[in-house]
Amino acid sequence: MNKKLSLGIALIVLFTIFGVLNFRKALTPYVSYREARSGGSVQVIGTLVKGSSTYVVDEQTLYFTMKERDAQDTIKVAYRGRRPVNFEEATSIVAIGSYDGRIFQARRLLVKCPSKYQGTETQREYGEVR
Amino acid sequence: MAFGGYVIWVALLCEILSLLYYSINQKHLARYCYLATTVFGTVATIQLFYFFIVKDFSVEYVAAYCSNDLSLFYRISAFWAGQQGSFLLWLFIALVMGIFLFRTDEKWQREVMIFYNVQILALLILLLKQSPFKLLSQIPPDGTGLNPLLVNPWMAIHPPMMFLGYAAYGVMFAFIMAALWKKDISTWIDVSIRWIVFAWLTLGIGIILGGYWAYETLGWGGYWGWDPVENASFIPWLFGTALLHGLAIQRIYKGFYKSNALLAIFSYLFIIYGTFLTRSGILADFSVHSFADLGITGWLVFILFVFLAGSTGVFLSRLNIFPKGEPIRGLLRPPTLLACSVILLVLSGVVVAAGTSAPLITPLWGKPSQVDIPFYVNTQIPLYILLLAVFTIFAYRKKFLPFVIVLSILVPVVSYTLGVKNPVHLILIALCTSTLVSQLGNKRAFFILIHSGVALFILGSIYATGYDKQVKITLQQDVPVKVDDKYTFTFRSVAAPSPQEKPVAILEVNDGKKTYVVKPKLWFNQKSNQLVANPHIRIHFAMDEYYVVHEFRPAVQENSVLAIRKGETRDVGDIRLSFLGFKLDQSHVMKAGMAVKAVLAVDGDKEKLIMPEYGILSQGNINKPEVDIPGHAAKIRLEALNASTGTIHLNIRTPAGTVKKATAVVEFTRVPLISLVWIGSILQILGCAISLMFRHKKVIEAKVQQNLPIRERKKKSRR
Repeated sequence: MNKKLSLGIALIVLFTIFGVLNFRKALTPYVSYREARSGGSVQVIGTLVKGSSTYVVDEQTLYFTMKERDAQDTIKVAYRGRRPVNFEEATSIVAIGSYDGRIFQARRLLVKCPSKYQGTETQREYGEVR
Repeated sequence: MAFGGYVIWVALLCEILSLLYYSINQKHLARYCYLATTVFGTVATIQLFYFFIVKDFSVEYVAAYCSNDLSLFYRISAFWAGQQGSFLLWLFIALVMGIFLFRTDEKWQREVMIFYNVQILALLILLLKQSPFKLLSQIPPDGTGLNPLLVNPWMAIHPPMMFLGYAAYGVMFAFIMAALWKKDISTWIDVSIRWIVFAWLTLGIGIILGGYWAYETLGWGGYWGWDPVENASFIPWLFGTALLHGLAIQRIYKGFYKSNALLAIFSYLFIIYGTFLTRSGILADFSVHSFADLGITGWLVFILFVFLAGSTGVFLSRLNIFPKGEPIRGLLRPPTLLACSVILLVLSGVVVAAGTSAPLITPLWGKPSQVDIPFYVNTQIPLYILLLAVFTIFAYRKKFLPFVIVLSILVPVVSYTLGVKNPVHLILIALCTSTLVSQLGNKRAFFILIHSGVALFILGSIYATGYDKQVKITLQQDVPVKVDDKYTFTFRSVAAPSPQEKPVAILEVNDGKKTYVVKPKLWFNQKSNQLVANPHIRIHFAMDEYYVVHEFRPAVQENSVLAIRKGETRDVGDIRLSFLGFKLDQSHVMKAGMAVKAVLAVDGDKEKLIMPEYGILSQGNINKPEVDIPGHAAKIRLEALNASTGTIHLNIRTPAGTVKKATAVVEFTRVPLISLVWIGSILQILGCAISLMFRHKKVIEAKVQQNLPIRERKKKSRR
């Protein structure tokens, strides 16, 4: 009985260590564009610079420029997937990927659409109050 | 505020009365008050439905999610497209479900209803804080409309199913709390087991419907993306699964009393935690489909805290009432295996919860971070390997051993020759096979269905997510393109099958044997001015073929006319034009004439501006000079403008030599054996439904044996 219990506890401890190691490995921190340019798997957030998105048919790649929130910095992003639905009217875009020295290569894009944000005005106020 | 908003206040009043009457043991009055709450909740729900049906855009919520072009079906399902409406739906389902609790044994009813009413109260408070009945001061002529991703039949059933599950988890929570309160920890299962199975079933159906929806609309990439919103419902499901296994130990082997109480409590707490994560806005930057903060974060934290503190407090104060469980004996005996399942499922839930909470945990030592998908996959795999091993051993019968061994070697070997080289995948495939085959030794249908369903689901996911093949093809109109030496793609046109339907891209695909036409949807969303593509899926048992158009460029003609509004971006062939605004040219304000220039950015480049002008000269003559488009051999002219709507009409002239064919970029994905994912899910649902009916039958039989009329309780309560 005791043997079984200690075996179980040992396995759970091992699994926890395994989990923590994986957790640390898979972390993609939110960084500023300046930090993103120094490399590593990260995520950046910003707004789409109006009219900056182009889909280059020959490269099958979507290019666009993002403007950093509360800052003037911009970053060019390349995404080889499908242009997300509602991309042009997105209120904010999160790009997960890494900077390759020239451009931010996005693995994934998270796009926030205003239709889910019907209270954008409320939200902005709320942000200022905080 | 519309009428419905006041109705919610009245409902809150009735609800508080019901809670008070229950606590002073005035059961009949309490019940009437509860019914009144239900009636008022229903009235509010009906009114919001009505607003959607008649497109009453004076209601802020309706204006935000409905529009004139939506069909009745989608106007109805737009009810739960947003945060406020989905809370109302949750409330409505929970209220109606509560009426069925009136049939609960008299002995339990009061306490169960008290703990259930507390949850209703929380929902009512949230609804008052963010009411769907707010009115706009100015009535817009049209609403914002539904997000194109939500214009999908699955959207109509997925959320109601989820809330059915959420509400039923609430019933489970009410039962365990009542059991702790009444210090009766051994019989609560008998009165609540059907509710627990029902909760687990409905939440499971809800999750899988969501998965199918994601798969079908592609918006979120595949059927499961480990997105926080998906995880938020998966965690309670995992805890519920663990609970059902723990309850089997409690009923048959008289153990796990404390663990089961905790599992039941935490299953529900994770529903509240999930609601907090997805609706407070704290994950807004981390999740594709979580809601923005509408100012209820404080309340959500408060509710979470009250439920957490209240339930753990009651649990701790009742620690002495738990019977001492029988020790679990034997290494490979059923009780040990059940206990292993419980532990593995709880670990799985905890890991998913930890990953989902990463943005909340990581600021403690560094930058807020999210964990990427590999975290979930890597940590779940060892747990599933062990779980499948447990399934196999549990159903083990000696006479089937040769079959199990032979097939568990054969299937991975065949998979290996078909290209599955990853050793972990091969181990999983072997274990899924052994689980499936060893079910031969089992006699209970629901058990076989559920566990082989899980094995098939895992088998399907390995093939579908690990061995899908994706290619992107650039196609010019009517020019066949060879793909992977087997397929020939020809892009024919983009056309609407009928005036009522959305346009589709027409692709002819030849797979070496026969030619078929696939029609992925490709339509222009007038509300957001952009191309929306829905996939076309050819469903087969062995392999789904998934077609989606990434990009479409219409043919470049010699003369194209384009109407464009301020702020819009449009493509003409390979030229992309963004209309930034008007500019009044001062230098032309001369001799009673004037000129307006349209400022256009070319190819998304703010530096590359062109300004075609529309000049009205003194004699009333109009001057519309042609301007070169930099980077393209084309010229542009401002044909007409309407300053009040901010619209301009452009004429683009391309030299004869550069006329281009229409182009489409198509993504073609082959997803092997995804059918097993759906078949596995259906088997699990079937198994669970059978177990539910079986339990229902057993309850009735028990009553018949005791010579009790089945409806007796109901009569008594009407006395």
